[in-house]
Amino acid sequence: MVSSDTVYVKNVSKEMSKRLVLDDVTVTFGPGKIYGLSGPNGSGKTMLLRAIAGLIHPDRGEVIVFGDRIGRDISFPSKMGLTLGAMGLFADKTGLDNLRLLASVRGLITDVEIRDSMVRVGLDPDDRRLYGSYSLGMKQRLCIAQAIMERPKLILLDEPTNALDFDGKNLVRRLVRRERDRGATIIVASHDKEDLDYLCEAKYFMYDGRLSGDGRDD
Amino acid sequence: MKLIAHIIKGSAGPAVFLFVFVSIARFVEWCALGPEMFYGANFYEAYSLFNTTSFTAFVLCPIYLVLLQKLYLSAFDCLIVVRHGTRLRLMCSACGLILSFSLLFSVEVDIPSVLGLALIGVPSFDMLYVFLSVIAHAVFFSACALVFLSVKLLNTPQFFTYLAVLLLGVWDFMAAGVPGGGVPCFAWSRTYLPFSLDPLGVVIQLVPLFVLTACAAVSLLFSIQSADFVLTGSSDII
Repeated sequence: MVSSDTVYVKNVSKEMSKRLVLDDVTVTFGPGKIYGLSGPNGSGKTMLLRAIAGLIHPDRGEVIVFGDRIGRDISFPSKMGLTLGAMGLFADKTGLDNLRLLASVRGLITDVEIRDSMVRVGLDPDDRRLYGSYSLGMKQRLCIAQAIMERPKLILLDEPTNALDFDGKNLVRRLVRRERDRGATIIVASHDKEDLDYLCEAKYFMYDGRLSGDGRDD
Repeated sequence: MKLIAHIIKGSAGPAVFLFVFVSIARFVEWCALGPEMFYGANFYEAYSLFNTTSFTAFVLCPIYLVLLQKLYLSAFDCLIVVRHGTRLRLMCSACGLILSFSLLFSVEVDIPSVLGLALIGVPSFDMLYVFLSVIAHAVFFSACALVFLSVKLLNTPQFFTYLAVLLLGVWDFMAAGVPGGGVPCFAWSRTYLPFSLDPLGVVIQLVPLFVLTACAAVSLLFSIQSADFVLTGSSDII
């Protein structure tokens, strides 16, 4: 069902390097819910997130985000935050300066909100260490901070608790739930079963580009 | 604008290295050519000797390629791409970045030329000529960057991306060597402005270069509109 607050993926297929990375995927994601995508490496979880984000053009089918067709009405969803594997942040900048640089592209939020997003993920905005010297866990936290700092309506998270310790995982899980409570549509791709069981109200399984599951939390 | 400024600033380290390298390369070239080639030459002839098609083809273009790779990794990460909202806006941002970067690179490669001319004792300088030449060089390097990004964004193998730029750099060098001529020159040799700087002469000289750059820009627009953005972090390496 397409509406102005759903993300609708309709019969999307995509071939890359002669391999079908998405195979006739159809699914709907609604507001105020956390959806899980599980599956082995190379199953198409990240590619599905990329298709929703407008980063790849499906060969067939369409993606409609909040009533706008990706690739026709809009290129990339405007109220979206995402994390996708390794981060393309600047190693010679502090965490705060990295977020400031990213925020400057859209110009939607203030410095106070940027700093707040760092605090929410357990990072110190006044930390003068450069991003290049961050631990993997800190990088992951900053990753999440940039995804949520503009209070997006759609949040796409690829392996959000990767490299995090126990406390870090709990903090991210609480954050994600808080974003859900705010009404955001959240899609989490992960092969961490614990994460998906804890977070997701609806789960799907991907294998060889195909999506299965009825979205019910079992 | 902040992002463009940061990416350009991030090139400062490699730019210093480039400046030193090009200075050394120019000195080696000067020694190889023989200083006597320069003595007696006027400013314009000497300046042209410092900006040969061969030097561009075999020194400057390969160096520029390395810097372009770094630029691509910085500017086309998925996180930055999606923040632009539309692919057209991404194109505008890319063009701003390319123009700034090319101008910086041109200034860097021209300073050693000017210093070299001062060292060999050329009696007079035409700084307007140098300034306009820097602009012309920037247009050429913009064309190289546009071609590089156009090919790169279509996920072509690294080899073809580099080949496309190197061909652009080498074209005029090869064309000049064809017996009987007849092969058009539209790249680096178009940056040799008429010594008198007469406006009509300058326009005639530069038009093919601008046409080349415009075509490359259209090509980049097409690439950005049709690209699948899969770059995250430093996953793409030289």
